[in-house]
Amino acid sequence: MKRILKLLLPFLMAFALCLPVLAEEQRVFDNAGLLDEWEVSMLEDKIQDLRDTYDMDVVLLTLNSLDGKTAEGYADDYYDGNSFGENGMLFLLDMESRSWYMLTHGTAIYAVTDYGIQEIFSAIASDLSGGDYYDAFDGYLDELYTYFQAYADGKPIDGYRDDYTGPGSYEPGTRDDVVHYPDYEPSYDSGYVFYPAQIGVSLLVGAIIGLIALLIARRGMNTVKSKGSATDYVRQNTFRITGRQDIFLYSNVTKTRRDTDSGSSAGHSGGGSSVHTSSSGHSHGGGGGHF
Amino acid sequence: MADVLEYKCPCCGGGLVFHEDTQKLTCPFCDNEFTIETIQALKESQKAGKDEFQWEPEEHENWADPDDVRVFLCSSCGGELITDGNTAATFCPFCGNPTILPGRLSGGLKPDGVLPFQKSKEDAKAAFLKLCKGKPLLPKDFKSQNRLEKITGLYVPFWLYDCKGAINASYKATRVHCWSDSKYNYTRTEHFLLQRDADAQFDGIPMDGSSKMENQYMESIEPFDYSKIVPFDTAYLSGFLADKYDIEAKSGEPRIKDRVSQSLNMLLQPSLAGFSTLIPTGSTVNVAHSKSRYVLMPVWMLTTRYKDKTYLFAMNGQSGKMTGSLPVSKGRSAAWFSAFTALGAIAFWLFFYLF
Repeated sequence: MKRILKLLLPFLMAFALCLPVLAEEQRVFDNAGLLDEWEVSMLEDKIQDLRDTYDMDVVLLTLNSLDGKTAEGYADDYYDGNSFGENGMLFLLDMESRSWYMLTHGTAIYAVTDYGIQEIFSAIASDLSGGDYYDAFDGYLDELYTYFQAYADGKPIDGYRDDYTGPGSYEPGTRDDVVHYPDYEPSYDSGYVFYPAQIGVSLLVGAIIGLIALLIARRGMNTVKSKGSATDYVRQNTFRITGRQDIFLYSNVTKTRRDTDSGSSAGHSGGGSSVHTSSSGHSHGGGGGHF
Repeated sequence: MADVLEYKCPCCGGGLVFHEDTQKLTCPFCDNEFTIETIQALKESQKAGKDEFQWEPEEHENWADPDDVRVFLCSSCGGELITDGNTAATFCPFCGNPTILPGRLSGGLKPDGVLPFQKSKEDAKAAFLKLCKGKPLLPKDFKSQNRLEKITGLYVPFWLYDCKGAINASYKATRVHCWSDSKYNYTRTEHFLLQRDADAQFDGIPMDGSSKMENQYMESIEPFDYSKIVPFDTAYLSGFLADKYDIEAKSGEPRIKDRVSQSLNMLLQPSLAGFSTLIPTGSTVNVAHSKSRYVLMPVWMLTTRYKDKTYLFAMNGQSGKMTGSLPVSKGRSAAWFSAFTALGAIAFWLFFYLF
C-alpha cells in the first residue's frame, strides 16, 4: 500500500499543482512581464466573472515579439491553437512593435464590432501609451461588460449603423444581424431622474412665453403711431428715377482652405464587423493598431 | 513718370497715382485701378449737398363775416373752438372739461375747404366698443356706458401740402460671389458706388394745424379722401365744433421734408435690389413749389378720464378708422403674464418629462 502511495505521490502532487489551473483556467498570458502576480490574479478574477456571466471567453496576451507574424496572424493562431471558448475575445499586446490587436471569435464578432474595438481602444489608449498596463487591461475588461451586456440584451452596440430595425430584432448567427442603436443607453439608466434645475429652466422658459404673451396683448392697446412716409400722397405715375449710376470701385478676393474629411473612419461606415479567415480556417473578427 | 494726385484710394486709403499709359489712377498699395470718372463721382458723392425747401406764394382768404360763427374758449386748456350760431359746446373735446366760455373770433384765415362728416356719432360709439373688444388687459370698468356720452364731432384744421420732391442719394454697396475649387473656398466682394436721382409730385400731404391735437393721432387716422372736399361754408359747422388753426402753414416744413424724404427713399428701394450690403452715404432732398391748402377734416373725438388720466380717442369721420391709447390694467397684466408663464413652464416641464 505504501509503495503504491509512493508511486502515486508524484502524480498526486502534479494533480494538486494542477488544481488551481483547473479551478480557474489561465486566461492572462503575460509573456512580456508587464504585470505582477497580484495584478494577474485580479485580472483573472474579473475574466472569470465575465466568462461566467456572459459565456464569452476573454484572453489577455502580452508578447515581446510577434515572431515575424502580423499581430492579426499571431492572435488568430494563438486563439485557434489553444482550447479557448467557442465565443470569445483575445487582446494581444506586443511590446517590440508596440502594436495591439483585439480578436473577436464566434458571437463576440457581433457583440464587439469594428466600432466597438475602436471605442474600447480609445478608452484605454492613454493608459497603454502611459505604461499603465494593469489599468489598461482592467479598463478593457470593464468595457467588455458594457458590450457583452448590450449584446445579451439583444441590443449590441455598433455606432456606424444608420437604420433602426427596432429593439429585440437581434438574433445571433449572421453578420447582417449586427445592429446597434446610436443612442443606446443601458436599461438601468433610462428611468426618469428628477433635477431641481429643470424647475428653474422650465420657469425661465415659461416666463419668456409669458412675456411674449404680454407683449402681444399690449400691442393692440395703443394704435397711435407716427407715419413715416407719405407714399400714399404721391400723384400716380409721377415718381421717376432721373439718374441712376452703379459705379464699380474695386473688388477683393479672399480664400479659405476647405475642410476636407480626413478618412479616419474609412471602412467602418457600413457598421458591423469585418471578418477574416485565419490560417486554420476559423472566422475571426478584430482590429488593431499601435499604441 | 507718374503724377501724384490728391485722391485717396477708396479701398485702402492710400494715395492714388496716375499712369499715362493706362490713363488710370492706380493705388500703389493695393493695386486697384480706377478711372478718373469713378474717382470724380466718388468725390462728388462725398460732398454734402444742401437740402432746399421752396414755397409758392400763399393764397388764403381771411374770415370775411365773423358774425355767423360763435367762438368758445376752454378756460382749462386754452382750446379755441368755432361753431355756427346754433351749436353750443358743453365740454372741451380736448381735455373733457365743462369749463367752456363764449369768446370772440380773433381773426385769422378762413378755411379753403371742408370735408363733411360721413360717419355718425353711432358709428363712432360702435368703433370705440370694437376697439375695446378682445383686449384682455383692459380694465373691466373702463368700458362703462357713460364714457360714450362725451363724443364730439370736431373739424380739425389741416394743412394739405402739394409739392414736388426731388432726391439725390448715394450709397455704398457690395456684391459677394462665392465659389470653390478642390482646396479653397473663394469669396469675391465687389464694391460699388450707387447714385440715384429721383423725383415725384406729392398731392396733399396732411399735417394738422392745431397745437391741441397731437400729430401722431392725426397721422394714425390717415388717409382722408380729398375728392370729397367741398368749398367751406359755415353751414357745415352745424352740430359740430371746429378747431382754429394755431400752427402756421410754414411750420410744417421740417415734417413735410421728412415725409417726402422717407417716401422717396422707400420708392427708390426696388432700384437698389441685388446687392449684398447697402449703406446710404448721403442724400439731398429738395422740396419745390410747395403750396398749402387750409382744410377742415372731420374727426370724432372721445375724451375720457380714467384714474386721473385723460384718454383720447380719435376716429376718421370719413373712413371710420379709429385710434387711441387704451389704459392697461396692472392686475390684469400680472394675471395674464402669470397664466402664460405657468402654462409655458408646465408645457416645458412635460417636454422634459416625456423625452
